[in-house]
Amino acid sequence: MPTQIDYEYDHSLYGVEHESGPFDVTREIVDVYTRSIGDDNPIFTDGEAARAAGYADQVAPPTLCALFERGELPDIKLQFGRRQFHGGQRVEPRAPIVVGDRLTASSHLKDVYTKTGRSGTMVHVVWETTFSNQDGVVVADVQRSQVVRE
Amino acid sequence: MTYLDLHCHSVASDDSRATVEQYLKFIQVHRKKGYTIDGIVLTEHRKFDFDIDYSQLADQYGVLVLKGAELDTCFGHMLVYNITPAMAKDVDFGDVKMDGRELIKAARHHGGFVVPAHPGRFGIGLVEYMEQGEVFEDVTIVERVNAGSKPEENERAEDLCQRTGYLGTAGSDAHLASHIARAVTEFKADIRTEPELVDALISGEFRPVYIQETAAAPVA
Amino acid sequence: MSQATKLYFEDVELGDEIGPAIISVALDQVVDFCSLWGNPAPNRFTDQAEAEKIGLDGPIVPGIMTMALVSRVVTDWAGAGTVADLDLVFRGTVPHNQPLHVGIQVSDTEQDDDGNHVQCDITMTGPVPDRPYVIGTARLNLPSRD
Repeated sequence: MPTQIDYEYDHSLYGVEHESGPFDVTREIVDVYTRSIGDDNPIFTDGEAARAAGYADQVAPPTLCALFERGELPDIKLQFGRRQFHGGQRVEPRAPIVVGDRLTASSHLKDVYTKTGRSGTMVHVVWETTFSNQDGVVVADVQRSQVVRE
Repeated sequence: MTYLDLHCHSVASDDSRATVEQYLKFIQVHRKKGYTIDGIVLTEHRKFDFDIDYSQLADQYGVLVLKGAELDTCFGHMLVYNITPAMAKDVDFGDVKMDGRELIKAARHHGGFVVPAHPGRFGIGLVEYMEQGEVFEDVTIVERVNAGSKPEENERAEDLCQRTGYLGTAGSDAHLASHIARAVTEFKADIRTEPELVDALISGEFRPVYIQETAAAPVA
Repeated sequence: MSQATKLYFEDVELGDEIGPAIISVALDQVVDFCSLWGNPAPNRFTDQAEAEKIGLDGPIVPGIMTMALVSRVVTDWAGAGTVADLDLVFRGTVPHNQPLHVGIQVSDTEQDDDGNHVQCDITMTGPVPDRPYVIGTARLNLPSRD
């Protein structure tokens, strides 16, 4: 049940799954990702080490899939605010994501609600996304909260 | 004497990540260190659930669990204690722009009590609105120590209390289990229920303390 | 390193504090990270003028990069493949080139038919333990020594 708020937005987005992808998990993406966050865990940087540990190939760090969700979510046409920032993110890995995987995403609008804080009124827009791999295995559930400020 | 954390949020609040049981478990960690915590008051953001009953958990962990709310108003956030069905009928808890002065009146009318939360917080505390010329005749108690606020914000709250004679409470404003009870209110009275909490607030016999001050002996 | 630091359920106790790990983020790291999600520099994450345009003091670390950094600190401690849930609230902007203190505290431990679960509270602050830039939790599934 969406929260009632004073601002207009596109309610027809509720109950609709938005499909996106495919997203190829390439070695280059995983390498740039791990390098940029300074992660030198061999499971995440070295295919051989990952295979020796029982994985199919070099493993993507648990939050990498959140990269793919960004920019793929529909505009809710909120009649409020000018500035947006990232309010929160949740990632629940369900199965390893490895180099060579091809992911697809299914997203839906979970809730839109208002609250007040240091910077005045804020509207939170919450999306949930499920990522699956090429075999149809769910690999991660991701929740993203985008905050719109006055 | 009763030591209560008067301000904390469980996962029922959108931005909290602690369950009530995790709070109660973590209070055992504090107790092992020698701190005294008798109970907590859950003050969920913009909501109140009459049906939810924590008495079994409270008994299991030996921690009093009372319920209140933290409501958004046009004069900042306000902690409301002893919420009754009649009060909930009169007040739209989800209205983030409700008139804070009216909320204070409505709560008192229904036997409850309102304490403005983190009054020194920049951008949203009561001090900000007072500096804009707003007057709050019905305010007598504010949250003087909020363990989630910046030190300078708590200093502003303390200045406010000294300037106006307001009494001050304390709460952790915890959103994580490990943050529970970092600041608590020390009451002279024994408190077991929400109406008793209101009576104890009205009595004025309480003071805000940090958790370190609840230890019978210094904690290493 | 982190692969070798395998953590067992029995090694962890409610209330344990880990860290804080102190990290910092340089501009070239953010530029690399932004290139991954089709947000090429300059932008508010990489450029002073772009940041100022939207009222920031300077360029900031993107939320999903902050999450990646927190995740790294967690897996450095617990090992790859242990994270079952990472749930963060971004409360403030995370600056470049400043020490970021990532603290972990064990807030719950539980064993059931599904395994051995450890819940941790996470905070990321600046050098002054002020209001955190980030709070959240991580749920880990750990192996048992038994």
